[in-house]
Amino acid sequence: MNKVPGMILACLMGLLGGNPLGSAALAQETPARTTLNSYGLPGLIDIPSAFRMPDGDLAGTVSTFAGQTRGTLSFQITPRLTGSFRYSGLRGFSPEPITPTSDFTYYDRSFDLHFSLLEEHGIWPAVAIGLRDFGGTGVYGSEYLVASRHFGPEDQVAVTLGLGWGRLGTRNGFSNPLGSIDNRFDTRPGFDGFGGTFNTGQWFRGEAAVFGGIEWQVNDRLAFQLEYSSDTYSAEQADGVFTEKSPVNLGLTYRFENGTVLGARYMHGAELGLSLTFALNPARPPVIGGRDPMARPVEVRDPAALPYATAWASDINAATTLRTTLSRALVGEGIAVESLSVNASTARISVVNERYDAEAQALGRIARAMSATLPPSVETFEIVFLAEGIPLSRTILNRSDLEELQYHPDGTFLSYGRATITDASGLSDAGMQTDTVVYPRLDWSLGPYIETSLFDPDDPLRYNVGVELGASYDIRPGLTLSGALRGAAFGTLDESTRASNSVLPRVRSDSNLYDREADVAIRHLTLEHFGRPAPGFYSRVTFGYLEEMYGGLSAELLWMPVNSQFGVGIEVNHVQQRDFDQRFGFQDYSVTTGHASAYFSLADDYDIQIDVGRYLAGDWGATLSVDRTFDNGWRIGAFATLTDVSSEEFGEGSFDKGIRLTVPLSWFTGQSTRTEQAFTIRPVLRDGGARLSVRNRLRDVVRDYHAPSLDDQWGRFWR
Amino acid sequence: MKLLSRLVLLLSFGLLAACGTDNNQQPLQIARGLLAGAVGGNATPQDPRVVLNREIIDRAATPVILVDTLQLSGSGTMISTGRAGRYSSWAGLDQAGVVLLDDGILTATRGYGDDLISSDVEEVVEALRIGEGAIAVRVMRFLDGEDDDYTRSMVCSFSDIGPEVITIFDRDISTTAVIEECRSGDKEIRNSYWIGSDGFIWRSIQYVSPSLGYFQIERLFR
Repeated sequence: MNKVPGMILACLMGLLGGNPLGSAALAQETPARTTLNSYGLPGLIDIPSAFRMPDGDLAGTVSTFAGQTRGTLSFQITPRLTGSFRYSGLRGFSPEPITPTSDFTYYDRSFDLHFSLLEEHGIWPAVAIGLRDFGGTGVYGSEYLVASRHFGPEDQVAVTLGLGWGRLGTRNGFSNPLGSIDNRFDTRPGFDGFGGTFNTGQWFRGEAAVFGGIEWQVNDRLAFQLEYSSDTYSAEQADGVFTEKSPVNLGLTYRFENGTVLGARYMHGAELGLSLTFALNPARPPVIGGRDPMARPVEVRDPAALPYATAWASDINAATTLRTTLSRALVGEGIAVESLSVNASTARISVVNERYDAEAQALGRIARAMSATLPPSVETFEIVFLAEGIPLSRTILNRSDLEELQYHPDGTFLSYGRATITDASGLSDAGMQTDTVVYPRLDWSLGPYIETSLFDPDDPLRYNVGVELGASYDIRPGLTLSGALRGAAFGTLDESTRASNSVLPRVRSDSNLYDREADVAIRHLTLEHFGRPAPGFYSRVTFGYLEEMYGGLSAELLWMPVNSQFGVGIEVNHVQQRDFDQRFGFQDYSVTTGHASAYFSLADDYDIQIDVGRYLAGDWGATLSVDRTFDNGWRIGAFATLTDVSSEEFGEGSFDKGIRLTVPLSWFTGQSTRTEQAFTIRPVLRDGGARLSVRNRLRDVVRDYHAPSLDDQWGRFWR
Repeated sequence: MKLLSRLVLLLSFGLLAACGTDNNQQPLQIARGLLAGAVGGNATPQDPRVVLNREIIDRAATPVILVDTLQLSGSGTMISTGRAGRYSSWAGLDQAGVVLLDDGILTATRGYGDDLISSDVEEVVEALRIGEGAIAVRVMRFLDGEDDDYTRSMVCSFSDIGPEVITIFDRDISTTAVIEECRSGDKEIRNSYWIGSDGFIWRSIQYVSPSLGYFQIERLFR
């Protein structure tokens, strides 16, 4: 193996967090996984099949033969639609009309879509349509329409037959049957442009050809594949990558117990190839429901003591004493108690949840601690979640309901039904005794960090490892001075010498200069103010060094009612570009940038965000982001930005786009933690459609504690 | 630059785990969780069958149960941590625990992963009283991978196996063995109970959840 497959493998493994699947198959029946081809999509060896992956599956595939290495991340976006991002290293190949030396490697990024038109049913085969490399530079550009069906008493034989265009139409191609609809389909125009656009002008154009194959599943583990490929690899053969002797490919795959699939194949009678597939499904964590310790039980009051004494409430130290007791009871649970207001019948606790990624689980634990510490006359518990010093939601629970429902067969559902979730803005403490923690307060942290940069053709995986020192000083609730310093210990980020060729203001494309010049970098140094101007409204003002490349002033207003899946926000920033050394200095470039944003959720499974406004380079446009969300915290999505910058001005990639993943650490460990890892993969980072990366955007601060999110994981209330 | 880098290097590895005032940063704990994989509770205490004997149990004179997780091959003693009506919760040193109805019928577990969230076993209580030939509906609730709860309802039939003297830490107890066989579609579970003459369940092997299988629960001191 040369270094490219290793690198791509490392990259995918990193994304998938190592190989956690070992234990994923424990409980509920896991749907059988589909064989993936060398492009990481349902198929045999090179050709596609009409099957699909189980909904929500995330699969990483690395395949290599004759120096052609592909690393593909595929995601079953909906039950029918699969999307893939691929990074390939093509040794000894160049799409340019020159023949490269054999040690030259051409790097290529491509996106695919595979759509299941019909499911296999009765005598009818499964039918799928697909676009390979629909938006890249077109090296793998091809389209297909394919049918597959299982045969045999145990469905152990699968037969696939399809029609391919583009690359898949190069063997014994015949004139396009679609040409009878419109003769535009008869010829496939050449590729032009900067990549990254939808090459719609090429789709299903030009000659078509037939491909087919058969797969024999010997047992649960072992399968053999035989295929007739309609891809002649003519461009690769012309560059001398390999010489084809046969249109037939032979392969075998072996599925290990942990779900990893190793494949070996003999390609075109000439070359041996290998592939490795890892898959996981965010909806099936290794540990279901987590493995946190049992919570203390709800303390049931003695009904014989009714009516409960209320004299305690006139003690002037009551709130202080009770808050101290509650703080002690909850500190071990990772819950910080900020304030307590009480009277004889009601207690309102304001907390910061530092541990539980399932917010309803935090709620259940706080409620139980309240039942164990508060005097019996307190019947109403109000739990207010705070973040960045501002109140977000208030959950009202009846103590007698907790006592009744903690062991109730239907306790989860009933406790949700009897809870009331409201906005927590402007709550009055009138008639209550209040005790609050003391401000100002200093927090600090020191820890390692890893930073990476992908897809530089000179070194596709650059990284830095170093240490970050962070501190925050809460002057009063909602007003925070904070900063972070980073020092790289070692790495390769500073070795990049590629100069930006951008014709736009270099608002992002000089990023390697920031990596090179920075010694000890000020990542951010800001004064932030968060507020609740009115019910449903949230505000943020951030001033200072906002991010590694920009400093200035950022202001945001969000309207998002506590029970709503819908929100609207507006953000305005005036920023100046920082010096490359990331100290205190600034460069000449300044810009006013900002967006109006709309957020909504589709069927609770997809988050949609639309931002319209002015970007860092002064360009105007809009960004569409779509994320598949899992209640356990996984988010997998894609975004694209179109602005008034033309693809010529934008350069390689034509417009800004990428895919992103958010992975909760608790998914792997079963231990509650709010730590999550976010990855954004952009094929190319350029200057068009670039946004400011200010910290603590309001929607991310507030949404976890709004009713829809509490509802999503209410199953953990009694956990 | 070089000196600084080296300093930073030293710092970062001397303090490999993040530290600070944020008490939620638990990198070591998380790393341990990763290494431990998906099996078992939160810690592995010593095997109580080796450490304990009848003398210690009787001297402690407190209600205590021994829970053997069978499939996870761990066992631990638990003491009662709370009681509400006919329900009692029990927890051990590893902070995992169980909830029992009438001190014997398992209705919930916590801290094992894929826990039994809650159960409706009132009909099972009645059927155990009747014994041979009784029929009961048992309802169990679990969480799925996205923390939504799902319900499994099963129809169970009961049969008496007959009298059996069981020994729990050198103490012989006369019991009647009763088997509960439940079915729902192609799913089947089989619970066993060893019941004293006053109806007290001294030993049982009861189904917990798809990944946990069965737990054996023994009452060491009443």
